[in-house]
Amino acid sequence: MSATTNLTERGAIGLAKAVREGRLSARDLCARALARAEALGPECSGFTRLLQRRAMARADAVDAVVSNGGDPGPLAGVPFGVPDQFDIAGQVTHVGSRTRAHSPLASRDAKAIALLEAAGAILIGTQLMDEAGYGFVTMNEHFGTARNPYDETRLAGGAAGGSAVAVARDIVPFSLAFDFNGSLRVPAALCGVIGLKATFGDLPLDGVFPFAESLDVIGVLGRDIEDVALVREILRADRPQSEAAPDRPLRFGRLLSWFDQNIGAEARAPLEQMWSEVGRVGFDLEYAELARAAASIIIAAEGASLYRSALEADPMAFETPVRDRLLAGCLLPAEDYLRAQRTRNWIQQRARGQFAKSDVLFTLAAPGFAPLISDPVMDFADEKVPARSHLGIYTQPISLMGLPALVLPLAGEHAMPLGVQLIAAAGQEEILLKAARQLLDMGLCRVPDPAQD
Amino acid sequence: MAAGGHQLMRPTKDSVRDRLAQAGIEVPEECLEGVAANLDVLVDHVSTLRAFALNPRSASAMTFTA
Repeated sequence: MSATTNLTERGAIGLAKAVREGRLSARDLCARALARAEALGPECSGFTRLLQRRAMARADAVDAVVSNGGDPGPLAGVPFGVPDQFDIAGQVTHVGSRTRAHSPLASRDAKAIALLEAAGAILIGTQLMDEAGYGFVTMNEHFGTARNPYDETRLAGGAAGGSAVAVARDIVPFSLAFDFNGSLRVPAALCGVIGLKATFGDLPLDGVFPFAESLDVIGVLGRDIEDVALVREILRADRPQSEAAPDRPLRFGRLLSWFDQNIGAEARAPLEQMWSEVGRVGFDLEYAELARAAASIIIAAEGASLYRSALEADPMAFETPVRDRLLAGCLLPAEDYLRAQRTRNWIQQRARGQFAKSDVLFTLAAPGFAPLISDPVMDFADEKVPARSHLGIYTQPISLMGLPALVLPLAGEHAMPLGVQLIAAAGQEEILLKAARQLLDMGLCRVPDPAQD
Repeated sequence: MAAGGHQLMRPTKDSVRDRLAQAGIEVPEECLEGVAANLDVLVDHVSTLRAFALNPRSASAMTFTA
């Protein structure tokens, strides 16, 4: 049963409208979401910590505004969640790690949370993630493994897997998430929801625990493209208005070479079909492998630097795969880190030129169906490799370029969700949103019905 | 991060033990194999970057505007 079952309204915009018009109370809406998350438990709801008292107090405040004839905002009473990486006043920001269990309580909410709550939305809890956000699987020894809502024996993807699960199950109409390497795009693809990763620097990071500050961004996971657009608009409160999409049909181009290798058999035909429908124009990004290498080095070095004192204090407090990756990052020569940064700058300059030929580039967001939790591996270069470090092979190069990307579920009767990743030039999120609407209208993409409990 | 170093040697438990000690990080013996495996992956990425002869004057390591 969905949290919004028996309601005629769907999505954040519809629910907020019902709350503003007094047809639905924010208290009822949030109580349903909290009850459902609690009943499902962390691994199936995606929520690790529910904030009942805070959420219900804010819901009552929203209802009071409505009762008094006021307008609580465009997200009136709409529940949402954030990964356990966003500061919440009075709570520990665990970042999925027990090494932070005794960290000071956050003194205030992350700016993104504050902006959404000022627009009437209500934070109901924090969500499951890979430890430190370092992984593509959301298999966390301490907080649990996010289970794919469409097959609970399979991964939800990561690192922000819990945030995608909560949206795929329609417990909340949207979640915030982070993405320095594919952390929201991979789970969006595997769980069949929409995921928007913003241009580097476009959305507020204040109060979001970092990992790789050269690449960290936040974004939105949702089920409705207009919800995603609205949340983005609210988060950009103090930013200049973004450039409008051109008033003409968009030009699509498929990324080939690196992005055409290692595609799962189950994903190739749907991708080819979409390509045929949008013009069969393709591009080789010759530097994609270079971009992935540079991103991997930057992430390893910056993450290791960030967690170095914790590693020195008690390396065994980390879960094994994360500890070993972080320690390896400590051993990277500074020269190679700087080389990776130069490469990033060089590649980013060349990426700009690509958009003279195409408005939107596309590729898969993940190579195929979600891997099994019992055997979390995938095929890569004719070998079985850990999904934890490889599910983002198509997202990592885009992260390095700092470009915005939007993941949409591919339409069709697939056994599990498959997601296509749309990419635009820096600052051109409006083009991404227009492209998404176009693909949804064409029936090439579709968000599957919410997974049933 | 460790300083300098141009050799691309495959990491071993012994080399990881030495390098971690040089970096001032003490870890139990049981960690070394996993660290070496992860460092091996990073060495591949480093090789990819080093093989690409980017002229340092063609891009700065310090500026980035998306």
